[in-house]
Amino acid sequence: MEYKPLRYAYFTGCVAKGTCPELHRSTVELCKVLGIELWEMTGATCCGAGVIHDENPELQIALNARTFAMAEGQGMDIVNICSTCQQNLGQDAKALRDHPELRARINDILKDSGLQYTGNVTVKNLLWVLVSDYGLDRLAAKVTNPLTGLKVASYYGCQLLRPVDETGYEDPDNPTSFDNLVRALGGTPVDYAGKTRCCGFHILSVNENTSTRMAVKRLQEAEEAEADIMVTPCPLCHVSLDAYQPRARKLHDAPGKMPVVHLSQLVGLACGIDPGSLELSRLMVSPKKALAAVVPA
Amino acid sequence: MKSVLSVQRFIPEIDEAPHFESYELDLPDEATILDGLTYIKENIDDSLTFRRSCRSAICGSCSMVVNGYSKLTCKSPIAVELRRGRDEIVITPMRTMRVIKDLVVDMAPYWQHFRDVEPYLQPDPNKVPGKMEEYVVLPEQLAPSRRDLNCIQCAVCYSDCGVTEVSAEFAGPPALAKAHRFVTDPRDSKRRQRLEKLVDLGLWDCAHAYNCMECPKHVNPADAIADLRRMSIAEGITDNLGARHSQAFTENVERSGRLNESALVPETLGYTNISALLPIAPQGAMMALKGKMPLPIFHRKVDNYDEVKKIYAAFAKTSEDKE
Repeated sequence: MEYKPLRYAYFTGCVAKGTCPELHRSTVELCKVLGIELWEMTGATCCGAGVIHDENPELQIALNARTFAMAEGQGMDIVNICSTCQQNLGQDAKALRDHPELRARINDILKDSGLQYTGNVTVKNLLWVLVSDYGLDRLAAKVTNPLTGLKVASYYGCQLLRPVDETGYEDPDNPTSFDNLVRALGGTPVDYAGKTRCCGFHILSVNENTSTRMAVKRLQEAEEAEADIMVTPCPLCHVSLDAYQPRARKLHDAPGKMPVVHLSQLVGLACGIDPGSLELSRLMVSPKKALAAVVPA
Repeated sequence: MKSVLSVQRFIPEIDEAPHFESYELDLPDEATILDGLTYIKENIDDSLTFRRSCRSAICGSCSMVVNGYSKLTCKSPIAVELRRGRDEIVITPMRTMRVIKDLVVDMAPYWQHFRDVEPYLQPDPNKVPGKMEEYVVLPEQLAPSRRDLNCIQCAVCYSDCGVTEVSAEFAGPPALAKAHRFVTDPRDSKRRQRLEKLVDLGLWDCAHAYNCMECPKHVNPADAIADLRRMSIAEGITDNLGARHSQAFTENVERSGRLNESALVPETLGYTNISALLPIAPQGAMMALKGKMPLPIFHRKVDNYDEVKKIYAAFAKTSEDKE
């Protein structure tokens, strides 16, 4: 069957180029194998993460309008690999689409740099691209290393799903895309209470105690559902759940180990990419034991 | 329309732990979750206990957790839950608060958070109009708080918030939305004091999870919280971690267009704040060992960085013009 070529303006976000370089590299490897063409937006700024928005909403919108104008210039939609990027880019894209007077005001600022944004860019997370644009049947056909028997806790998290008016891809009270993707990879999705609840990342540097308590709760909920592994579409969730996991468990006296991999790493493994190229060794909690049965030695 | 409601039952004085009872119902297609519970109480088991009154999304009494998400049950059709493909509709009491019986929770902590934000107008005594005058407030002056005014105190957002779930100190979304209603009221004289107090009540503890944006009355407290944060920085209330983090973040991005993560933590806490930096140093070292702590000095600027400078400059100029 002939498929139409998929090309995206690839918005890496800051964390996949900083704290989680394995996310960027595994995404590039995966897209190569799947034949998804990525035009990396090396000129794009930070999405603002809602933090710039807290201080100055229009400054964040202007920075993101510049990013949209670059994608629009290439005639491409944006793919991102972070729920916070998705939420903030999605929200700001909607604001610029729905409010012509705001768009005019922002374009007035961009004019100086020879940029204009007309409101025609769609922002998609990699999860949605895999499920809807690429298609799960097509993905299943690429699986050479099925995740048979692996119990996977898909962590949708919060910002990928809400606010539903701005970013809505699916029902935030009953999301199914991620579990369907796990099934297409041959794995077994587990249902657990925390799958759409917050990891606490956004208050990690403001209130570490509360933030890590939230992360520990999510890890424990996945443990209670007997998951072998968690998988996240967002590097910020990954920082909270993996990079900070040993510290969070220590702070709240919650012993245990729950490996957490990136979406691109899990799909990459199922598609036969070697664990070295996916940089699994960078994870704080080693997924080796959990993946022993499905990863070729 | 056939459905099965699986309802959590619990009498703390008698039962060791909560248990579930299932009820098979056959109700009209338009029946709500609350209709289902009322049917059970009137026809199957009159000991089932839950709060309800108006059945019209006005009184805010009938909030519960339905299949894992807090809802105003009079506004939640059974049919919607059936379409989500679950065999049973699982109904549990709201989160965070102690169960009194079955689906009724003790809302005392919720109301305490409201009292903490002083949810009443505090006008300047010198500006209060005389006996035969009125205090004219134009509709546009109340526009910022229009959504806040719709709150019916149903506590759906309080129950679904990921932060209130683990922190009793956090004021929570509804109390902060109520605070926003008075901070933005032109008749109130305590704007700055209110904003200062809100910092202590957890203004910066909101984690942007946006559960509260599923508000049955479209109050959407997360927007109110973001607006309070903006006003608090504009008011110069910046001697706290939350405001410093926000300001450091915005300045950090200005320097290269991209966030320089390794620099953000010391910038937020303060480079000389050894007592705050020392406890997290081992975490930094562990991340560095895994190649997760890029050196801040090797941080690349985005292409055409001068465009970013121009955007920042445009906003610096607007704020100067305002002053």
